[in-house]
Amino acid sequence: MAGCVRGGAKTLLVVFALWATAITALGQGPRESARANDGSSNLPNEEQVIYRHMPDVSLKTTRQGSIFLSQLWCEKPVLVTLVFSRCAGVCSPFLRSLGEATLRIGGAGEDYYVVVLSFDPEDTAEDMQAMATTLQLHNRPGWIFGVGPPEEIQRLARASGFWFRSVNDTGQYDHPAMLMGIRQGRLVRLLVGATVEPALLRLVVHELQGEMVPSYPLPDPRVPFRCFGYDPATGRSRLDWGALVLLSPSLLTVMTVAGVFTMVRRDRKERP
Amino acid sequence: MAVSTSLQLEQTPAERLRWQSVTLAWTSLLFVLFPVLASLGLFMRAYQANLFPRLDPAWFYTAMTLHGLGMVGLWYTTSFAGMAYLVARYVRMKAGVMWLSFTMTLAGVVLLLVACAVRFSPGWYFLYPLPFKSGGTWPAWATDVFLATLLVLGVAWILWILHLLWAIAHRYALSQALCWHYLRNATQPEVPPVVLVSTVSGIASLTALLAAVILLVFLGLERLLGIPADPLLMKNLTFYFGHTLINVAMYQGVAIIYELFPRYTGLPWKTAKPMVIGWNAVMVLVMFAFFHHLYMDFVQPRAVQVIGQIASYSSALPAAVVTILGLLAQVYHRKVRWTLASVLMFAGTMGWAIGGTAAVIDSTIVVNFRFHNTQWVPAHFHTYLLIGLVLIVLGFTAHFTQEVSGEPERSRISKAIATLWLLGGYGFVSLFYIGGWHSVPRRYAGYPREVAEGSLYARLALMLVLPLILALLIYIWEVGKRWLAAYAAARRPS
Repeated sequence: MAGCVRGGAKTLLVVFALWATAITALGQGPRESARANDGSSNLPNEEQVIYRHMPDVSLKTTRQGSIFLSQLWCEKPVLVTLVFSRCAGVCSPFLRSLGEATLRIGGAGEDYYVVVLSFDPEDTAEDMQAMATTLQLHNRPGWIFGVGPPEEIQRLARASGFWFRSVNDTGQYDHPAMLMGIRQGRLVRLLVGATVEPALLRLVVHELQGEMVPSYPLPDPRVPFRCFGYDPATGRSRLDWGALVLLSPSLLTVMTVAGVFTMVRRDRKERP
Repeated sequence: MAVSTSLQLEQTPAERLRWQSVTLAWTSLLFVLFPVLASLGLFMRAYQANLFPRLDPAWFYTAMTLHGLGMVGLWYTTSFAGMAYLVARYVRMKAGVMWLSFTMTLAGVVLLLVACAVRFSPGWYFLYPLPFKSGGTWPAWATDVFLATLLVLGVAWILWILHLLWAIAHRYALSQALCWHYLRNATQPEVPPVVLVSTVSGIASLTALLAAVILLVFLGLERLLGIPADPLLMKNLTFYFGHTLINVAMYQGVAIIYELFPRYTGLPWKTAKPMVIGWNAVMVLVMFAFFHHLYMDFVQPRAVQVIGQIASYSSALPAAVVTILGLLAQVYHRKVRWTLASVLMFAGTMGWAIGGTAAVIDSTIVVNFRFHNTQWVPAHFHTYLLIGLVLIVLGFTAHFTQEVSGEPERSRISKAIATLWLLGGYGFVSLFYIGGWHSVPRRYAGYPREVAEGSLYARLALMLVLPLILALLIYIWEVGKRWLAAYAAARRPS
């Protein structure tokens, strides 16, 4: 009997140790991974720059001559991107992707402008026009390719969180691919990445037009109970187990109240 | 005149004394906590009025957290204590359970103060995941202390709710306690309204507190095991708990009115069919009314939003209409004995009606799209609390201390308290309404240029609230003296 008790106590100790280890390990997991994510990324962050006033830039273009960026955003919303004409990396694929996305969603020139600016001081308006021609974007309505004074471009880059740095005498720059959505001089959205998804760009344009664009972070996949499950492919949501959790307080209440009244009634009946 | 004297149970002198002592303990909180928490509210308005330009705004949010949680807790518990004191004459409750809850509630208050002392400030809704996102403002252990606060208060309050239901069950079957036999035009056994409302409040409280328990489990899972929760589910649970609990606090105040007010009019207030329908409807519908807090959460299905609006209207109207019409019938063409207690209780019920109307307006989806997160929200809840439930509980305390102490009332002082309170109270809340009307956002420590008039409204509110401060000080002086006399009387050997 005593051996049994000792054995039970040992088992309890082992279970407790396992439980404590699991709590410690799981408790530290997410925080560690969150830190790793923070440290590894130096991409522009929309949260840090959203709704900032963007500095004006005096543009030089081959087709429209000299204009101010503010003239454009006073007229209609503007999508602005910073590239350079001799880029051997992301600039061309990014512009192609942007070109395709704007074709898919339509409205360029009517609802918004697309301004492609060079951040390379060596670039001229002609270089940018040549780039537009190569990418077959030169005849697109609402598309403007140009350059600006380096210090003004630098200010725009700083304000929007964009960065670029020269790579050791190669004539190339290290830089992210980024698209700014500007309405009335304020940065409303920022898309970062070489591929522009038409669905996402459509939302950006809607937001630039002042429409309410609902956004909701998708729950962490580790969340055990959600109110709704969401399918990104179809955009549909369906009820999930979390919705049942919401019913549990009322169900538990019914059970508890019924239990209390039944118990007391039985007790009263049994009492002489 | 007691309404249902024949239904009252015989209380031994010792029992009566125990109930008087524990109710004195609960009402003592009014004299200590209410001025402190009200001062925090004044500090917040002063901050919004730019009176502390150099003070870190984090203190504003700490004050908001403590003021909001403290006030909700204070009025929920004191209205329960008042209701329990009265219902204990019809069902046999144990004062010992009330003492246990009192001690645990005090422990909860201390824990909350400790958390707020190190600037714990996720706001009084403590919406997930804010308690875990301090941004360096408060240490992580403050969140643990806050979770412990919730745990202690949750246990204390579930305990007394279960005890209340257990005591009611000893005298009535559930269908009788909910007066369903009145729907069949049967009037036996006769059930006093205070028992009906206590049963409804107890059941609604229990469901709110169970929602809080589930909420606490999810918060604990994240804190201890790092398992995140669904923010939408957490928001639903938070408002299930919070919205239902504050509504129950008001219902407990109404239970006090049903039992006490007839003593000042001499007209019995009996349970009747409309009252039974109204309160049974409230018991079910109040569990769905909280959905109106989630209109901005577009991921909630549209049907749920519609249920929220319908439940908000339907849960507010029956009980309010039955109570307000009943109260007006009590005073209409009657020689009412107007004392501090009866005036405060009457004015409090009217304040509930006005604040409730503002709440129903805000729960209308099309209106909520304009008023959501504006000062209309603090406007309505300050109306039904500051010039609603608070007055009812203060009225109960005035009645109770006079009953126990036997001290006479000074009519001029009573008139001064009531007049100053109503002047200051309505003046104070009117600035919130004006702010809401002009889209001044709530929960802002300072205002940006676009809504700079918010500072002006805050200044005006500070000025207009002065009569209320005076009324509170006079009340504390006047009723506080009576409380001390009651305390002495309760300790005197019989």
